[in-house]
Amino acid sequence: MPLVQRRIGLIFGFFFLLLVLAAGRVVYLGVLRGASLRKAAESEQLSDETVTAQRGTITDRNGVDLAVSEPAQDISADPYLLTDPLSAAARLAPLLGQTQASVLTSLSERRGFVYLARALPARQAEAVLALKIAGINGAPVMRRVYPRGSLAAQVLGMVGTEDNGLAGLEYADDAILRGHSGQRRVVSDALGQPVSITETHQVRPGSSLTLTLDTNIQQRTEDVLGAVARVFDPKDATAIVMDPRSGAILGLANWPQVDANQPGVSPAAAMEDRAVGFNYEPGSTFKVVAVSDALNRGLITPETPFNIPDQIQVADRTIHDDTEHPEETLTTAQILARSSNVGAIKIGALDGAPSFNEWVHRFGFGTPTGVELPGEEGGVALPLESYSGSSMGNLPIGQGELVTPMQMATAYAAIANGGILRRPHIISAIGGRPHPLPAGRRIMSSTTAAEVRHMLEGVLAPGGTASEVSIPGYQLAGKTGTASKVDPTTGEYSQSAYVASFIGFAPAADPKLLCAVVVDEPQSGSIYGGTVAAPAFGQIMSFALSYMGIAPG
Amino acid sequence: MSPPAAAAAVEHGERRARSRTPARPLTAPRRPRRVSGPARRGQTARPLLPGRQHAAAEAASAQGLLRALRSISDRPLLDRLIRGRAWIAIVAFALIGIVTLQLALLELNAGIGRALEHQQLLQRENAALSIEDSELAAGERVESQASRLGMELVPQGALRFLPAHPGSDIARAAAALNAPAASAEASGANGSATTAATPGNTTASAGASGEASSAGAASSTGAASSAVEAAGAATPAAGGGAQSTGEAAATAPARSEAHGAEAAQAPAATTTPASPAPATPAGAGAPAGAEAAPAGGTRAGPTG
Repeated sequence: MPLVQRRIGLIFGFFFLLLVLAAGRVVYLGVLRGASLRKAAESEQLSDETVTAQRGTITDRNGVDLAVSEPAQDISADPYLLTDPLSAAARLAPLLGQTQASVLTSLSERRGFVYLARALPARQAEAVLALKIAGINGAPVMRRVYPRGSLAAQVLGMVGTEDNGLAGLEYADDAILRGHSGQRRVVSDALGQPVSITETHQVRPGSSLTLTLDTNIQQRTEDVLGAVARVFDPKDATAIVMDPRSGAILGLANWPQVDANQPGVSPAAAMEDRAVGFNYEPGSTFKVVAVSDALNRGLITPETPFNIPDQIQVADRTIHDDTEHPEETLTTAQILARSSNVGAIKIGALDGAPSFNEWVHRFGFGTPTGVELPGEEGGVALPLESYSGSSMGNLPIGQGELVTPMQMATAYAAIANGGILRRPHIISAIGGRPHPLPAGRRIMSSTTAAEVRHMLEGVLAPGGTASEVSIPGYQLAGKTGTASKVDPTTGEYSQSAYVASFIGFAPAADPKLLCAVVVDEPQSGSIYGGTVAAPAFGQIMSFALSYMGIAPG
Repeated sequence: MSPPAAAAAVEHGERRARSRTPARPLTAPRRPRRVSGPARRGQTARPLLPGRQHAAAEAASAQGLLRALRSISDRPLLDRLIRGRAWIAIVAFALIGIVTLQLALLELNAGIGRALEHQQLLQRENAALSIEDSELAAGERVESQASRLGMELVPQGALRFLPAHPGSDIARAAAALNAPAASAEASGANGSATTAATPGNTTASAGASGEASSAGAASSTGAASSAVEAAGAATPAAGGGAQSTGEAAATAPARSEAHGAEAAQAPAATTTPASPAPATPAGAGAPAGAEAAPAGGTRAGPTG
């Protein structure tokens, strides 16, 4: 064989050998180790990232943010991967805002996963991850922040660690606020740079909620309630400020206050929104129902005189007026102004049980008002069949039925609004789209409403039960209420536990603002609506009227 | 000597036939042979099943396609095209294009990644700014800041609302216009705090011409103080009226028609500070779209 041919053969053989080696390598990598290498490549280059949907913001009527979501991270650790837990704890503790001991305790757990911090602000989380400690990981989440702290905390509610609403509007409108998280698949190169990004599930951020609340009125209302609490040391208190013309709630305060950013610090009961969740016997504030009925049917006028003794017998019950007095003659207006129990019972007797009962329900008592707040109670309004012989001796004076502060405010708003009852509302827009104004229904004639309004002015006039309250330039109207609470141990009305309340509006002739203040069990100072709740009403209204630019009248 | 092939084959065939199949009777009836042509009357042709029909149609179309391809390959034009040197350039261009596209795609994806990171950063900053904004607008903070600057809440009852007289107010306001004082002009030129320049943060006062008003301080802030803004902002435009700085503002007549009502008068003691001042507590949060002035009169603005 010639030399050339031999060399060609050698070269061919060499390349053939190389080809065989390459084929063998391909078989080894692609078949024998194929599965493990594929997994390794996927874990290093391919990642499915969850794109957390940003929860919608909650703003007040002027666009002031009340609840905002910001990016954050859940910081977790795999203690098995930590080589030096002590050193890691020392480096992590200041960034996590925890003690070194608590971090070390977490890192020393015999588990493969432990949370070090939930919803840590993004900057802090980045600083933690920048330490590049093996076994320390971060998962993107959203963190709910309430910039005003305790402002309207019970109204706004709170959000859980999984970004789900747990209370308040956060709970009631969770579906609107939450949105839908998305997912994207990211393929990265050897340097970690993304070379392909595919959105497998589109993220849909939550819609924003615009409330009818006004932060300044809300703040002032909460301040006033706080002051009431300092003086009278009540069990709790609530106040509602409303535009009676539209039913828009401008302020809704609860005491005790809760820091919305740290709800766990306060007792669970403090998170309750008492404006809709507190059932109480309204007392004298309920007297307008019997009076409205009789006026609307033409049975009485504001000037109709009534012979008012100190007490009255109804079936087996004897009902007294609040203070002893000789038998006297009072007009309807004076009965309301002085809050005469005997007078209200006499007017209720004129109405008759069926008509009175119909008017109780006409005002909306016994059913929730329908305001967009969760946990609203409906109160208790007895059906006519359940009336006893003495029912008309206590129902017209606000005993024997249960109402919520929101129901009372709504009923008085109907009087202020010319006899048209409108569902109260606290949401003015969703996702920027205005929420339709709730339709109203007439429950009494405008004449009757005007007469009741005029009579309620007498409550704040000299001789009325809230005569010490006034706002210069403004004609106020309202009604005090001081209701005994039922002692659960005896089943009788307590001699020490009362609910003091005041509901009023201004300007009396053309009301544009309404305020209801309900103080539960004032312990010190006084127990009367005229001295506990009415001054708070005056302070709130004094601010709100000028703030809203409402002309005196 | 071997037998001839044909004879051997015949013999072999006979042998196989004998060994495998039993003998059949020669009289066995033969099946009728199919005759082409139209079906005879009285006999109906059995229709093909739908599946078979479909298969037959597919086969026919495939054959048609094959025929078409064959005919294309036989075309001389195609032959000329394939043999041309232009193909080398086309293929090279396409290959380079594909590589370039891939590179561009990689770059684009990397850009998307960077944009996403930037988006997250902006989202975070936006949230942080929203929180900060809300915290800064807190009433308590504004109130304390304002009190540090010497402002105070208007006492209850200090606000007065004047009735409007649309027929006479405009003429009276126009008659009360004065030429701007030299000092006022100078201060206005120097950029002192005019109400027009700082409508949202100014505590201004406006004098309604001749309309005696017992209003105390008419601290106006934001858009809520329509009447006072009218005094500040509209005066210069109303024919060289006084610049509403400091004392000048106290005498500056208001363009009452701007809001269809008279402006409130306030004592000079409560006039605008020389430098822009932050809003009063109540006014700081005054709604931009606050309720319009009532028909019976204008409002001097919420002051808390």
